Amino acid sequence: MDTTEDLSARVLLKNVLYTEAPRTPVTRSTSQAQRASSGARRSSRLSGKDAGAQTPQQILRRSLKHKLRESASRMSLPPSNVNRRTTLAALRKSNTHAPATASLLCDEGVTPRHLLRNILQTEPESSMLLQEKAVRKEPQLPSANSSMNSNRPSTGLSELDLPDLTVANTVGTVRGLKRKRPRRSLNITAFEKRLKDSNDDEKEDEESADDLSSLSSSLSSSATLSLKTPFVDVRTEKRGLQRKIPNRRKITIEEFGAGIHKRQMGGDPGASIGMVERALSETAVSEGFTLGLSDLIEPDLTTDIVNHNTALYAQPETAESNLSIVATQDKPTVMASQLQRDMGEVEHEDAAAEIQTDEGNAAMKSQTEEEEAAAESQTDEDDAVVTSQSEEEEEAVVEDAGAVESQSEVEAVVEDAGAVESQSEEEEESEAQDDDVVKSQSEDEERGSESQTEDDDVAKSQSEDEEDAAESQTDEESAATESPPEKKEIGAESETDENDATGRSEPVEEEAVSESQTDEEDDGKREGEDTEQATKHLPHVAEHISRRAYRSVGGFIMPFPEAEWSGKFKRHSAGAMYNNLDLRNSMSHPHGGIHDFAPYLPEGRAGERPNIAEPSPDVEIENMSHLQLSEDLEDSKLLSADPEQNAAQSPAHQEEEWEDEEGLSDVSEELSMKTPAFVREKRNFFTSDPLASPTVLKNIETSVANKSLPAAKPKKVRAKRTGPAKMEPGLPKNYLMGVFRHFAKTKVAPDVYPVLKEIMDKFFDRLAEDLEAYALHAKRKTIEVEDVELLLKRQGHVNDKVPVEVLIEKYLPMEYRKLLIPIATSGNVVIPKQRR
Amino acid sequence: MIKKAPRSQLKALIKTKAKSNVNLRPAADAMVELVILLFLNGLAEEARATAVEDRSATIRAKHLRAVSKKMLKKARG
Repeated sequence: MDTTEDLSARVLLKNVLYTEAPRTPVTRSTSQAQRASSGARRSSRLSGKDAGAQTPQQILRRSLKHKLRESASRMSLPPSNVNRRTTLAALRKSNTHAPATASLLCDEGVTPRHLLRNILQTEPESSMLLQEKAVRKEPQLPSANSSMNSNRPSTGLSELDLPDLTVANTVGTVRGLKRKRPRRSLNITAFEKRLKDSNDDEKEDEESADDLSSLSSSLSSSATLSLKTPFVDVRTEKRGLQRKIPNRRKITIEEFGAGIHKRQMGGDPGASIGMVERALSETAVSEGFTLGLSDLIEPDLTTDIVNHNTALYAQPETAESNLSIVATQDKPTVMASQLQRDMGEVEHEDAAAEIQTDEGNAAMKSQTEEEEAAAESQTDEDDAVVTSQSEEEEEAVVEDAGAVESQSEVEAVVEDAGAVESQSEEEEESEAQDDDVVKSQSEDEERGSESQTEDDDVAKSQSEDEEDAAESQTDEESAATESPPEKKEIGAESETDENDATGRSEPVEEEAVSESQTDEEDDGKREGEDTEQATKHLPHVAEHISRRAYRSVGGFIMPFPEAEWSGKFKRHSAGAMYNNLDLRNSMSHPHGGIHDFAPYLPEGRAGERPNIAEPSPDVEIENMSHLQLSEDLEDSKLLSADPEQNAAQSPAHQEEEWEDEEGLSDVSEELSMKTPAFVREKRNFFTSDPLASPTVLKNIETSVANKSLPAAKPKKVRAKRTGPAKMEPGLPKNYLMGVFRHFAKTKVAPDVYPVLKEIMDKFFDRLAEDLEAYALHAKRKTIEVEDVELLLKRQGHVNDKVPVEVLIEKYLPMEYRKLLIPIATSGNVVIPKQRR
Repeated sequence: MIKKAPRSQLKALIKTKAKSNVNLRPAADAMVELVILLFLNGLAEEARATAVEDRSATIRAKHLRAVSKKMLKKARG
């Protein structure tokens, strides 16, 4: 109906046109048919308008129509421009009508298509002009009728939409006739052809190109989005060849890094800031863009994804050019590392931040920057792209940086080899976009490690080994269990990030790392060194854990991840473990706030189960596991200012997600809590071991684990005690299912029970609320029978036709009925006793 | 109906869910049971209808879920 209303103007015009048309034999039938078809549409408005506006408009229309017919009939001869315009206008009208009324097409040999075709064929070039003129004409036409005037321009313009397409098509076809076969389906191809043609034939091509451009623009603007995008792509592709885009990207990335630097500066006063300042100053563009980078990052990344591959090769060149700027070098590497981190989400951010502060190198800063950037862009895909991008940049920068990097590269290669494999596996599984991305990730890892390997090669090797081991494990795990692709991607990303982190921050002190990780507050502070190590280890450990978590979530394989998790910890040195945990925790500290460590892992899993789709929960789970471990290690300094912002963003998102999950999955959590009880115990076991700094723990706990810790413990207890007051479990399962089956009268699958339970819980909530409200309304403190009666009435179960008693009789067992329905017995005794 | 709802549990449930109300008369307990039964009944009916629409003899979780939202809204007072 809306369409009809919208078309009212059009319809009016059409009607008017066709009302006139019936005079000519050809159109009469069509007009009549139209009238019949559009009779429904016709409203009083139409009739009124028709009556009022007809004379001047009709005349014009008639003329137009006549001309159209003439042109249609002529076919071969190119009608004069005026005629074409009129015909076009008429055609447009008719076109607009055409879809509306099929009769038109049928009756008239001169269908709009034909008319247009003729017109276009004769003068395709002028199509644009015609359109414009037609537009002008149409508004001019409705002079008499104000309403018509208002409608007409709109209709004319709207009509233009259709003709635009048709015109474009025809133009394309015209072009095609000359060279290729006409293709209506794809304007893009037509455009492309035209563009090509333009090169060949100046005159026509140019015109056509212009027309095409105009057409494309008009088309894109008016008509279909599909048209628009491909066309744009074509152009962008061409430009891409020119390498404009890659240049732009570099800037954006740099800007990003600059923005990160800025943030860092705000967070951490120190050497990094100086570096950042330099970098910022050097990159003027970055400064301007940094502010908005966070928001822009993702879109850039996404767009970059498409063009990224092409730019991969271009970037190194540009990166190299950028390398000339000393400060910028750091940024890109940082950014790259950070971007990688993004993959791993918050975790990486922390690691990066930590790394930066620790080593005090530009690379470190870059990491944090990357982390920040990573934090901002949390989508896996984006992360992948970003990481790849950042990696590339890093690579370029790192390579240029110096021999040290090269050395680290070698080491990193070793690491990455394992990581790449794992990553590739993961990525592939997790819908990795391209091999390039994987490569880029691996590259990033290498880079990241390179940047930081300068300080400690040994540490790297250690971390590498761990990583490799972890990676191999994760690979196995990933291969073994199917986990949602998102999770894997995250895992892969996290691995890459971890690898990077490990590479970067070898000698990171455990404490520092753990602290940074675990504390949300610390996020901003992160002090690189310790966290770096931790981040290094944790990332890949976390990855493994996360993977396991995914698996557990997906397949409820609690023991499996648990075993792996514990096993991994055993393998790694205590410090490494803790570091990893810390890293993880720091990375996931935003999550940590919401979820506590060990106890929350199961929670997270439980929560996740209902919401498996979200990748963040998986990461959170990882974080949680890490958090648990890192609780003790929370001493780590953590938190460079950089991650604060990113962390804040990511944790906010994650927290929100988690919170939502938690809220929704309360029941599931309880259920799940029971299973992972032993898991939790194990984790707690581990967490207790590394008691690095009780103070940190306290801080972390208070800051992060406030919710989780108290919740975790009581949950543990609950699991053993079968819950208090049976709030959640509520009704016994047998009863529920039994009643449901009875009512259903058909077979009921047992898997409906959880759903049913949830429903009932909600129902009970509402029930209690309502009853309480009624009682309060009656200024009573107890819920009475009448309250429930009122509820039934409001729910519609009790009507005038169905009194309450009937319901009681129908549903309740005898003893209840006695309670509710007074029964008169002999001796003037009423049961139950009436209180009146 | 065939089975009896555990009244103690129900009472505890309502009490815990409701914030400030203190008491729940035993008769009201029975009434609450009635309400529950009615609600479940409606749910089951609707779920059965949707299952039949799916040409499956058994009620599956997805059927129930589709129906639940509607029924919950209906049973709001």
